[in-house]
Amino acid sequence: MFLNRLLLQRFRRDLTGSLLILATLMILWLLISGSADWQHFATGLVLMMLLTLFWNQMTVDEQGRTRFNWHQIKLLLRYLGFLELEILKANFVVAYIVLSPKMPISPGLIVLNLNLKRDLTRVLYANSITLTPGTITVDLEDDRLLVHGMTKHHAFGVRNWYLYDIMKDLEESAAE
Amino acid sequence: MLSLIRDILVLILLFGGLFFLVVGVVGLIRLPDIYNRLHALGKCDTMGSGLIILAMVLIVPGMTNIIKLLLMEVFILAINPVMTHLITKTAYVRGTPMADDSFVINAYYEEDEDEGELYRGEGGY
Repeated sequence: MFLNRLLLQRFRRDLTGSLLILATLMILWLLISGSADWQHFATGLVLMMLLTLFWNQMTVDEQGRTRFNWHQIKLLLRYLGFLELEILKANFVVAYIVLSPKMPISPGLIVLNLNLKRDLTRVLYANSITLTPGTITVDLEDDRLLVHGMTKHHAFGVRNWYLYDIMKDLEESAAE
Repeated sequence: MLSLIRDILVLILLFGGLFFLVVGVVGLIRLPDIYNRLHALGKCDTMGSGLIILAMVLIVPGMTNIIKLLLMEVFILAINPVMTHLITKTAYVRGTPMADDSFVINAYYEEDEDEGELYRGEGGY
């Protein structure tokens, strides 16, 4: 019962975080399966416990605990809302560029600084750069970000982007 | 009456999604090099499939189906930029040539010991 012991260890190290993850996953499971027999419940419980065990990589701090506060959730929601707007804008920009007869592009690469530390925020930020107007993340090493832009204007737009400030806020409020 | 409004909304969303998917394909054909083509595909596919899934959310019956569709949307939102990034990175590492008059700018700077003074890298490398 190696797995069993691992699970127990995980729960003992971080009770609140584990229970939180477990509850969220169980709610999701019950919503998807759509019925509340005890068989569904038992299967879900076993599977979700396994998932909780493998969750470690994502939302933990250095001590291996899952922690977050309401301020972070508010910031994240705000971030996602602005991201939706940017995605909408990006699509119209691309549609305009592709469909206009002269194709006003001046593509190229730009190297930038990026001072995000945690993996989760780095991934989120790189993905949002890819989804927003005229830019794609090509590479991200340490604090060096390589971005491909469709026009020079869009490529420079990444440098002082307002979503970066929200991301930075999010990361710093996690440290407390 | 209500179902008519809903059907019109669904139609608008479906044709919006179709429009963006078509724009993605047109961009794939028209744009000059692989990086620019991925611009068109990575963004317009996400938006197009997102709009179509939204249209399906409006007409599909049952809570579980709606949640499954929304989960699909989330997965597409997460996976599409990652794959775009991977293809671009592979192309960059392999040294795929860019379009003719494209620029390379180095706006990376290192902060010196002197406070506030920024060292700007040379333009281009």
